[in-house]
Amino acid sequence: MSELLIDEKKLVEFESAAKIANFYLKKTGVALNFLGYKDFFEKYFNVKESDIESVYELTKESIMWSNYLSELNSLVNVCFLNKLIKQENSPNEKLEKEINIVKLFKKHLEIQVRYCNLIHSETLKLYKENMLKVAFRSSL
Amino acid sequence: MMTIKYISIKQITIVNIKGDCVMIFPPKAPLVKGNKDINYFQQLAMLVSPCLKEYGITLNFQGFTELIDEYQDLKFNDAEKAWELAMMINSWSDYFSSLSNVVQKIMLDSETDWLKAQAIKSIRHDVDKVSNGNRFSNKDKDVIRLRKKRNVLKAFYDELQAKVRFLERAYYHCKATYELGRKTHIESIFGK
Repeated sequence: MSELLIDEKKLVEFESAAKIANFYLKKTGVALNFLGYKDFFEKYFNVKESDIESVYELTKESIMWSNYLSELNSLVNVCFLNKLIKQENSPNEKLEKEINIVKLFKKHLEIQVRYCNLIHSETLKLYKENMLKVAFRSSL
Repeated sequence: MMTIKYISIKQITIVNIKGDCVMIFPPKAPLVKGNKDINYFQQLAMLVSPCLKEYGITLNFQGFTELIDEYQDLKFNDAEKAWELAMMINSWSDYFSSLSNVVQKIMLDSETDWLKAQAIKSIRHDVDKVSNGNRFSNKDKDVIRLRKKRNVLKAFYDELQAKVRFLERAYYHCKATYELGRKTHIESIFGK
């Protein structure tokens, strides 16, 4: 497999880290797939506070994305730990670089899981407030 | 009334005629195993399954995917469904929690096996220099096998713990849906 050119500055972005990690993870049978993840954030950033239905959808979507990323993180962890064994057996610079990328990607995944959980808590709170407003209005 | 333009099976995204995204869930089965589409959790379960079979444990998650599908379809005004789901999710949370305890025990045992094998090989190779002995033992096939077994058990145990947390959140969400759904329904009829 050809060598991958890495722009170190871009590694701070989840998307770039995922693209680079995908190059190494593919070899171990872990295919990354984030179809819809950008759309989910677009929806979150554009949702109207009073739109109960969309806010409610976001509570479910965020928790499902958090679960999905967490599952991926666990699978990536197996690859990461097994790569460490390989490195201890026959240390080489190429493998060391690979380990660092996978480790960085794992950190990114953990951050994304926490982010999705925060979105879930926030949208759930908003949904509750909206529903209580509806209850108050309909009781007048 | 919303018109569904298309529904993608692999990417669970529904788009209405205006082109606005309505439901954006993660891909259901991002991996392909043989001729079957599977998700990351199923892949992890397949990896850990032989290790657990040694201890007489067979993994069974029948019904879990269906439960998640039902949860994804839950509407904010369907209090009855929310109550039903809350009960089921709570049972699954208990199931995952029990399983994680058993897996933790097996993981700790396998960790002991690995360290024991490593120590024996290390002493056999070099009694005086520990690091030299360890370097040798890390190359031993049996030590590598035990270490890999422990790794997959550790990853699975961590994932089971994450599943319990996920289900606890989902349970609380369903409970809130039920309570608020009932509250708005009752107050719209009888007032506060």
